[in-house]
Amino acid sequence: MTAARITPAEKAALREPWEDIARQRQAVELGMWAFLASELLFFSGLFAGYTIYRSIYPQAFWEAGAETSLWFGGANTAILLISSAVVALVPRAARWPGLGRFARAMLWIGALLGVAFLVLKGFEYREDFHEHLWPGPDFKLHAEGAELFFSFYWCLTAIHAVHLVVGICLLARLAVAGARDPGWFTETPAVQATALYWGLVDIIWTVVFVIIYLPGRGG
Amino acid sequence: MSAAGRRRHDDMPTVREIVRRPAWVLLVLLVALGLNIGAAFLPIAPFLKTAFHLIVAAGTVALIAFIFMEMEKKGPTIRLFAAAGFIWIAILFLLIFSDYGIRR
Repeated sequence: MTAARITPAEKAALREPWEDIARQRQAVELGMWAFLASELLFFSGLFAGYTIYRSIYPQAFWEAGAETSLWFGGANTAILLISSAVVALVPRAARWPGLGRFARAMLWIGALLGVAFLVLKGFEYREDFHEHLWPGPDFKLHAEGAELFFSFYWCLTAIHAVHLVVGICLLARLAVAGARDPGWFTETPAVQATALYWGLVDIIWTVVFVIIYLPGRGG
Repeated sequence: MSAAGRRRHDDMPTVREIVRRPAWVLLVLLVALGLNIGAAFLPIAPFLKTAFHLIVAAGTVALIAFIFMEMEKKGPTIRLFAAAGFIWIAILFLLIFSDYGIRR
């Protein structure tokens, strides 16, 4: 492998300290998975807290879970699953110059689905405030532990939404940069890294949906 | 040989070929979501419902990681890094349940 054989597109995507794009891609992917593992551990603290308090207040968590909106939660889960499938197409297509436009279109569709998720979440939050589901003096439920459930609800969904906003920005940034320099787009490991990040956002939501929206249904 | 040089135009997949597999997996995931929501309304013990929900969620996570995030195509080093987060979480919950899971 010599520097003379590097194509202009590879040169545009290559960063220090790597000498060839294949190694850079492997390193970025490995580093990204390590980062995603740390993100999982970040959320696992909240999941662990939820598990402990649910074991202490099982009835209150069951009653509080029934107060969440399954319609909003279910619709948003479907939207994120579809967006994950769409974004999964990006690394499969982006490395072929002839499929660059298709890959960038998938990035925009993924970002728009992310925005749709946030819009629905906004409506859901408005309904929750209206229903007095914010822990505090006017809180709707009286069972001991119900406020704790909603503390987890707000923390988990809000932190997840922050991750989603970051993901939307990454998708849009990649689509814009890829349109400016299609050669760079075929080679940059940022495509794989961005798709991996979006996958993690969906993985986290899969767990959040199950522990927040499904308890307490059907009596 | 550069990475671009290895990719010949003749080898380029069609959009249909690229979309087919993720589309089937998406269909499975949406059916699983429907099953999970439906199971929440079954008149069975909460413990059984929760166990079912978590099993379906675990399957969903596995499909996202292996197919959408392409872990199925990766070597052992990347798989180890990807598994690390899940392994630490498993240990964390093992320790939690060794206490709270057996309290009366």
